[in-house]
Amino acid sequence: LSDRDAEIEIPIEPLRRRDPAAFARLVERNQPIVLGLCQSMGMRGADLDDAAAEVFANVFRALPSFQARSALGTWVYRIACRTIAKVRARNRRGAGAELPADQLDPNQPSPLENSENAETFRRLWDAVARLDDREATVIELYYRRDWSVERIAQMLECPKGTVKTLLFRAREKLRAKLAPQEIARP
Amino acid sequence: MTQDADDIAFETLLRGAMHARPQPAAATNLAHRAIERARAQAAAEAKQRLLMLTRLRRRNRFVGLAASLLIAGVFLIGGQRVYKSGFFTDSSTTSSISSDSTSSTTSSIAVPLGVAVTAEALVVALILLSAGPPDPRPAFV
Repeated sequence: LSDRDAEIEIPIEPLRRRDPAAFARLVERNQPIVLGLCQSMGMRGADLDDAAAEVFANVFRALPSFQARSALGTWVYRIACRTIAKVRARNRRGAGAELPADQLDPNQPSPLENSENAETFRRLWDAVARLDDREATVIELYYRRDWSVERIAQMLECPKGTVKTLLFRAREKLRAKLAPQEIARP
Repeated sequence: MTQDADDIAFETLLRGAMHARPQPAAATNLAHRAIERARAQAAAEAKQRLLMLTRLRRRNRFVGLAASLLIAGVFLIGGQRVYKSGFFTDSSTTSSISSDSTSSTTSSIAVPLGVAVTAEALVVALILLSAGPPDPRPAFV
């Protein structure tokens, strides 16, 4: 199912009434992107779990006021972006401890195993985690989730030009982290 | 390599890197944890609001008491001044006082009376401002 198909299947009224079963379905459908956003912003382990729980707690509290002016998924991701940015800022203030190792999905084989670009990829992921909130968000949604610029603009509530600028700036920052021969490698 | 080709190569590399990134493990019981957290947050906020209301109510009570004391004091002083000025005495008695002394007495009374009235007005305004609209909720114990 695509993100948009997933939205259609969840009825709005039970969600507005905060029905736990409907909410569980909403979480199940949207948690990959929320977890991905947390991961792209450099969160790992318990921090990542905590941030995701806080995102969905905020979604749960806001459900009765959902006006359906935008798609449900867009609305959830909007809350996610705001919440993750806050959690990230809070974590940065209390930073100092070494980051725990990534807890990855054991059912999903890592494509890195046989990749010659493994080291370059890891450096790119680290560089994405060091981008600012909006830049990391657009990189995650555009390059990993294959969202269109238009959909990202709708989610971030900004013009398409702003998304393009964010993408350009983020790309330049990421490119600066790599040597020219790493980029040229087929 | 031209700039365009370089851009395309980097774009491809970046897309490949992002697609190759393993998805984080799904958190167990995330919906349940989120609901618990939301309820805890709501309860904490409600408690905070109640504490704030209690503080506000206590402050209003204190301001009301202070204002009542001030009103009483101002009435007492004002009343004494007015009584001393002979405002309540007969007009025949007043007329017997020479014009010079009358004018000097009037001017010496005018200032304290004005001060008293202004102070009273201020106190009433203070009470009205601090009391605010009536609270429709039952008293919080």
